Amino acid sequence: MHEVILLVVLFFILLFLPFIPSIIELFLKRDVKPISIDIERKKEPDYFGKSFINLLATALKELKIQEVEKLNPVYLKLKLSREEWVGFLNDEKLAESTMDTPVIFTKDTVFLQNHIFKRELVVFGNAVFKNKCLARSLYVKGDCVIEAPVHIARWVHVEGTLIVNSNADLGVSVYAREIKIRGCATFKRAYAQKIDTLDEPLIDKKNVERAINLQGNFSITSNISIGGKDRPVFVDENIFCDGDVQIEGDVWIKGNVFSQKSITLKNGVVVGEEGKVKSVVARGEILIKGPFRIYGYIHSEKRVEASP
Amino acid sequence: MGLLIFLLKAYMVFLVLVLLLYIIRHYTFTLNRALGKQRLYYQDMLDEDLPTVSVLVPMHNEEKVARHILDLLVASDYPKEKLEIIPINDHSTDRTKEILEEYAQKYPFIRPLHRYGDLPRGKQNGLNDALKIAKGEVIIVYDADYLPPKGQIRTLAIAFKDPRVGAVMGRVVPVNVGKNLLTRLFDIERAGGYQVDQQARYNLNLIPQYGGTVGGFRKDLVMKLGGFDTRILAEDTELTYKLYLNGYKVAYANVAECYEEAPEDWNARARQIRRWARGHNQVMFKYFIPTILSKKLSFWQKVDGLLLLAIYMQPFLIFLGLLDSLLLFFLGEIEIISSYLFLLFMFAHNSFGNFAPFFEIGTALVLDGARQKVFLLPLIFLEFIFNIIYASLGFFDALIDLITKRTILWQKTERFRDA
Repeated sequence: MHEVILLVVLFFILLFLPFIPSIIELFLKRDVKPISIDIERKKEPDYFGKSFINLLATALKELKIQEVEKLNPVYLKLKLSREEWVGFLNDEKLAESTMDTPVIFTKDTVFLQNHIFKRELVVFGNAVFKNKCLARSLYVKGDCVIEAPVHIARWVHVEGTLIVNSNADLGVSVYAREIKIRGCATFKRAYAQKIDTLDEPLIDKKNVERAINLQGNFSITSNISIGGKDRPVFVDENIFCDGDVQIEGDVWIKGNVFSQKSITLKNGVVVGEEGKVKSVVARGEILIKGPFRIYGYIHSEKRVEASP
Repeated sequence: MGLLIFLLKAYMVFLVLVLLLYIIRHYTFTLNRALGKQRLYYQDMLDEDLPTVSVLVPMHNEEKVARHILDLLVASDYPKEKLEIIPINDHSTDRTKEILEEYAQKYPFIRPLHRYGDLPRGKQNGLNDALKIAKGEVIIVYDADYLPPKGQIRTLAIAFKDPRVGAVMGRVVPVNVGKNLLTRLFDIERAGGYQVDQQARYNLNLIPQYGGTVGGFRKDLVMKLGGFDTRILAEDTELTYKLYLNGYKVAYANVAECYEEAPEDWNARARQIRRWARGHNQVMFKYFIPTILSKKLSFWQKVDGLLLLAIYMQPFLIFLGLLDSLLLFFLGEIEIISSYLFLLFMFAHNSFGNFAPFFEIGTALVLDGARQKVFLLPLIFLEFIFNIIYASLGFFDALIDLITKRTILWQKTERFRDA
C-alpha cells in the first residue's frame, strides 16, 4: 500500500515539476514588461551625432555655459549619458597622446601628433588630421579634412564637408553635408547631400546622346549586371535585386539600388539626382571603385569600401 | 466493424503525418531564424519620393482608445501633404463619432468616414467603403487599440518602392503584458509568431502573412482584385493569398514594431480565437485548390501556403485524433503499427516533435532578450488545450458558413484600456 501511495506522490511530483519554474515566474513577475518600443523612433541618418551634441548642450546649459568657443582650457564634470569629466581644450598640444575622457576642442584644430581618443572627439571649428588618429566617435562643427590614416570606431558627424584624402576607417555611421572621398574610405553607412570620389562632372552633368533609357522599376530575383561601357545607360527608377548587383561605366540610376547580396559600382556610376535623397542599400558588401557619385545614402549590413 | 477500425487507424496515421509536417515546419523556421541569413527589409532605404498614404483605422465603439491612436498618427513624421487619416466609424453608439469630429476640425488631413443606417457592419465592409474615398497610393491599416511609433508609416510605406511588394506587415507587440496569466501567455505566443515565424517565412521567400493591422497594401491593386470579400472574416489572410496568387508578395518588417492591447479576459480571447479560426478556415475553403493549381507560386511557397491555410484546422484534426485514439483504445485496437522502428518514432515524436512550438517561442524570447519569460513556456500547454476547443468551434462555424451561406456578423474584440 505504501508503495502505491509513494508511486502516486512521485507521479504527481514529476507531473508538476516542469511547471514549477513557470509558477515561480508567474508569481515573482520578474519580466512583465513588453519589449521596448521607442514611440519617438524614426529614421535619422544624423541620429548619433545629434543625440551626443544635444546631451552636451543640455549639460552645458545646466552650467550656464552658452558659447563653448569662448571657454578657456578646463576639465568639467558633465552629465552626458552618465556623469563624467570632459576636457575643453583650445590647442592640440594640450591633449595627451592617449585621452580617456571625451575631449572638446573649442576652435579650429590641426592634429599634427598621433592621438588615441578613447571617448568622443569634438571640434568646434574645422578639423584637419595630419597624423594618425584613433577615436571612438568624431563630431566636427565645421569642415573636416583627413590627410592621414584615421580610425573611428563608431560614428562621424561633420556639419560641413568631409574630405578623405587618406585611408580612413570611418566606423559604423558617417554623416556630413558633403563627403569627398579621394583616398580609401570604409564604413557601414553614410549620408550626405552628395558623396563622390571625383570633382569632375559625371554622367548626370553631361549632355549625353545615344544613351539607352530604361524606364520603370526593376525587380530581379537573380543577379543583375548593367554595363555602360559602350553606350551610357539611364535607369529612370529603382533597382531591387535578390542577387548581386554589378554596375559599371556611364550608368545613371535615378532611383534607389537595393540588393539582398552585394553591390559593386565601378567607373562612372551615378545614383540619384541633385536635391533628392536616394539610397544604395545591400545586405552584403558594397564596393565602389573609380569615379562615383550618389546623392543621399549608402548602407551595407557588412561594409562599404569606396575609393576613386 | 472491420472497416470502421481500418478508417480509425488510417486517420491516426494521416494525423501523425500531418503533425510531422508541422513539426518540420516549426524546426525549419526556428533554425532559420536563429542561425540562417536574415533577409533585409527596406527600412534602411532613404528616399524623398514617398508614395501618398491613406491610413485607415476601423473603429466600432472605440472611445476608450480613439484619442491615443489619433494623437500618435498626428505625431507621425510622414510628410503631411502625402498623408491622410481615415478613421472608419462603423455604427458606433458611444462617443467615437464626437471624438473623430473633434480631430477632423483640428487636423485637415483627418477625414473620418461615418457608417450608419443600412450599411452592413464589419471591418471588411468598412475597408471597402474607405477604399472608395481614399486618395493614397498606399493604404496602411491600424486597429484602433494600436500605438504606432513616429516613423512607422514611413517604414511600412517605403517597401512599396519594390514593384513586387503587394502588401507589407509589421510586428505586433502586446503592451499590457503583466495583467494576468492570459496576457503573459498571449505575449510569448505573439513573440514566436512574429519574431520567428513571420521573419523566417520572409527569409525563406515563402508566404509571410499580411495581418490586417500594422500593415498596408497597394490601393489600386487591391481595388483591381475586387477589394475585400465581405463573406470572409479574415480579410487579411484572404488578401495574402489573393496577392500571392496574382504574382505579388508580402514584405515582413520585423523592425516595424507596434503595441497592441492583448485580451485580458478568457471569454474575450475565446471569441477572438473562434473568429480568427472561422475566418482563416473560410479562406482555406476558398483558396486551398487555387493554391495547389497556381502557376505563380513556387513549390515551397505552395507547401507553406497549404500548411498555413490549414493551420486553424489543425486543432480540430487533433481533437478528432484524441477522440479517435480513445475509440481505438476501448475497442482494443490501439496497436496500429507494431515495430521497434515505430516505437522509436513515437519516442522521437513525443520528445522532439511536441517540443517544436516551444522551441520556436523560446527562440523568439531569447532573440528579444526576454529570458525570464522563457520560464513561462510550459504553461503554453494550457493555451494549447484552450485553443483546441475554440479553434475547433471556429472550424465548425466556417463549415456551416460554407454550407448555409448565412450572413456573417463581425464581432469586435473588447477593449480593456482606461479611456
